Amino acid sequence: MRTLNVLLVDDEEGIRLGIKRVLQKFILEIPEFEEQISFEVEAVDSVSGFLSAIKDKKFDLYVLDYLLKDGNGVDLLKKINSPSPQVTIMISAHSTLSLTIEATKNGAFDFIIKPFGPSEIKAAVKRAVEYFLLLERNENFEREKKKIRFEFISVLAHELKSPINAIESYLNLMVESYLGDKLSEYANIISRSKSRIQDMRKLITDLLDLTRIEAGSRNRVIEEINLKEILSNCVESVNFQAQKRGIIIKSIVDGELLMFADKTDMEILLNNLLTNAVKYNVDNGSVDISIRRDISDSDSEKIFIECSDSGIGIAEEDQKKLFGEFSRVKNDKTRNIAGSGLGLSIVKKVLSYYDGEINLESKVNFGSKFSIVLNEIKGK
Amino acid sequence: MAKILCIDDELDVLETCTTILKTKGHTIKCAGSGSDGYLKAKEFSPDLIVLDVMMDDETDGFHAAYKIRQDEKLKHVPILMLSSINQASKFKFNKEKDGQFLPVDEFVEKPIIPQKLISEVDRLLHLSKDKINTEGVRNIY
Ligand SMILES: Nc1ncnc2c1ncn2[C@@H]1O[C@H](COP(=O)(O)OP(=O)(O)O)[C@@H](O)[C@H]1O
Ligand SMILES: [Mg+2]
Repeated sequence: MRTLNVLLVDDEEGIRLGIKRVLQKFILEIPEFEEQISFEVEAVDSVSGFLSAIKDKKFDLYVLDYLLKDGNGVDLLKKINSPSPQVTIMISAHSTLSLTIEATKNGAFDFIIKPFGPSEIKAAVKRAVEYFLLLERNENFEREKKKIRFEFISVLAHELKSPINAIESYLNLMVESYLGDKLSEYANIISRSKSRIQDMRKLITDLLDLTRIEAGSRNRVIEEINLKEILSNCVESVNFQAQKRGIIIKSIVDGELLMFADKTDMEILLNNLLTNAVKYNVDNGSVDISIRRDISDSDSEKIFIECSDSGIGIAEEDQKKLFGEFSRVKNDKTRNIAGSGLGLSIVKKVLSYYDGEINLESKVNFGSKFSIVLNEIKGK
Repeated sequence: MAKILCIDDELDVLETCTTILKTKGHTIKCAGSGSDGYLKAKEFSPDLIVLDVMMDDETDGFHAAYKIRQDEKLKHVPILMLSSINQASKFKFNKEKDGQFLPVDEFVEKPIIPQKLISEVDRLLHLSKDKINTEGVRNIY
C-alpha cells in the first residue's frame, strides 16, 4: 500500500470536508502498476494557505479551486514547479473554454465541474493517479538511462586513458635511456606501445559502430543484399591476419543467400565474429563460418550463422560476461591481443534489430562456436 | 637494494615499473590482480608495495591495501599507490588529507615519470615503521 499526498485548495468548507472524506476512505487499485493507493489529504482555503503548505511538504496530487478569496487556481498552478512528478486537477463552477485552455497550458491535467459527487471525484483522481504513476515510471526510466550513459562514459574514459598512460610511461623510459643506448633494447617497449595504439584504434572504430547502431533505424537501409558476397569480402579483409599465422578460414554458404537487411549491420556481425575467431586462435588453427537459411520452411525468414574456431576457448565463468560492454577475458593468452571489449556487445545490439539471438559453446584450449539466428526484415 | 612487489592488472604498468626499479638494483615481483598480489605479498614479504588503484571491481587496489594493512606481518610494509584519477577530474589525491582515509603512504600519478617513481620509492623505503599509514577508514566510497 502506498500513500499519495494530496493538497486541496478550496474556499468552500463543504467542498473541503466532502473531498477529504471521500479520498481518505478511498483505496485505489491500479493493476497495471501493481499498486494499491491510499490518500492523505491536506486542505487549505486560500492562496496563502497553499503557499505555506507547499513550503515544507511535497505533494503528489493537487486539487485546486479556480476562484479563491485571495487569487485564483491558475496562478497557483504556475507556482507548482517542483522537478518531481505531480498532477493537478482543477475545480470550477462553470467550465468555459478559455479557462480550460489557460489552466491546461499551465499544467492542469483534468477538471471537475461543480456540483459534483463522490463518483466524479474518484474517477478524476483515478485518472490523475494513473497519469502520476506513468510520469514516475518515465522519470525512473530516464534516470536509469542517464546512469547507464554516465557509467559508459566513465569506463570509456578509463579505457582511453590507460593506453595513453602506458605509452607515455614507456616514452619516458626511452627519453631517459633506461635500457641503454641501443635501440634494440627497446624492441619490447616499442611493440607493446604499438599494440596499445592498435587497441585504441579498435576502440575508436567500435565506438563509431556503436553510435551508428544507437542512432537507431534512421540510417539503416533495408534492401536485398547478397550475404555470400558480403561474407567473402569480410573473409578477405581478415585473411591477411589469418595467413600470417597459418590460420585457414573456410566459408560455407548455400546458394547466393539473398536477404533483406542493412548491409553495414551484416558486415559488423560477420567482421566481429571472424576477427575474434582469428585473433583468439592458435597458430595453424582453423576457422569455419557457415551461413544458411532455415531449410525446414522455404518461406522462412530465419538465417543461421555459425562461426567456429580451433582457438584458445573461453572458460565457462567468462562466457556470460563477454557480451557486456568493455568486457574482455584477461589471462596470459589474451594479454597481447588487441581489443576493446566492445565487439560482442555491438553484435548483440545489431541482433536486437533483427529479433536475433547469439549463443556460445566453448571449451578452453579446444575452441569456440558462436551461433547466430536472425530474422530477415520483411515487408519490402 | 630492496624487495618490491608491483600489483597492477595492466601488463604495461608492471613492465614500466620493473624496468625502472631494476636499474636501481631492486628485486621485483609482479602480480596481476589485487587478490594475487595479497598472496604474493605473504610469500615474498616485500620491503615495499607498488599498487595500482585498478578499475576491476573485485580485485580493486583499495581492497588490496586494506587487506595488507590488516595482516599482522604485512601491516608495516609501505604502500605506494599509482593512480590516474587526477586526469579525469581535477581531483588530486592529497597525502595529508586522504592518507588518513586510505591506508597508503604515497601517490604517484600516471603516466609514470621514472625519476619521480625512484625518488618516492627511496623515500618510502627509509620511512620508519611507526610512520607507516596503517590506519584508514573502510568506507571511503
Ligand atoms: N572466438 C573467440 N575465442 C576465444 N575468446 C573469444 C572469442 N571471441 C571473443 N572472445 C573473448 O571475448 C572478449 C570480448 O570480445 P569482443 O567483445 O569482440 O571484444 P575484443 O575482441 O575487442 O576484446 C574478448 O576479449 C575475448 O576474451
Ligand atoms: Mg572482438
